[in-house]
Amino acid sequence: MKVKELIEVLGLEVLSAGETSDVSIGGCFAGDLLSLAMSGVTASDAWVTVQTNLNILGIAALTEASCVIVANSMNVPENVVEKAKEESICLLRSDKGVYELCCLIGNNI
Amino acid sequence: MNSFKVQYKVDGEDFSAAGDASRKLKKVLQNLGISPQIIRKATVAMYEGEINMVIHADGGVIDAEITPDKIHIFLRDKGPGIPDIALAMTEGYSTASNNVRELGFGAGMGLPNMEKYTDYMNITTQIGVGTTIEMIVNIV
Repeated sequence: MKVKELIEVLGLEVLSAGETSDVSIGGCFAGDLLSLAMSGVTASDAWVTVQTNLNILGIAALTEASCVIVANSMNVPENVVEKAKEESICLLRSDKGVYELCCLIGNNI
Repeated sequence: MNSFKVQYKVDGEDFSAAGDASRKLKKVLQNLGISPQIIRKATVAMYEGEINMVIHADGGVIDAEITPDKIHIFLRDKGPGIPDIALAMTEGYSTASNNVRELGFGAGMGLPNMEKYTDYMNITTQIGVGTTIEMIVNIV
């Protein structure tokens, strides 16, 4: 499933569209420890996290995640949204929790 | 491919910019046609190194040399030094502040990850003077 289709199916809020809407999601990684994420997220994964600081964008770029999905409607600082737009990183948000999001992603990709 | 050298300064004040050098190196490696698996190893190790330099040492300088057979990286800082390298290499051990932990770092995985993702790593450190970490990722 492509990122843009996942956005529709899960009703995700698009904070930054990025350039990956046509990328097929390869898998899913859930986690908030950035050291784990940088070694665990593989290219084209959807990364589900409750971390919202600027460093998530660095890791998304490094790992080539297809999108970052912020769970539990966590507040994302404006500078992070702006930077995501600048860097063309797909940054999404949901009111659902991490487990529910992962189950839904797993069932849909 | 001839030898290719790059140098990056890591700003100790700016936590949000940590990772910039790794991203720049990634672009360089991509332009040189290095395989994605090798690029990932080198950039994950370097990103962890950058984060360490920002958290512990108020920044530093990274030199990377890419030759046909390896990526050779030196991370040099003028930080406090590492009193016990074996302890610092223990997964889960960290001296990072709570502030840093709240950002998702400081889990005590930095140095172990750097060792895991490189083919060679050597730490030279002197208390009150600084630390140099040499890392090699083989290309072939």
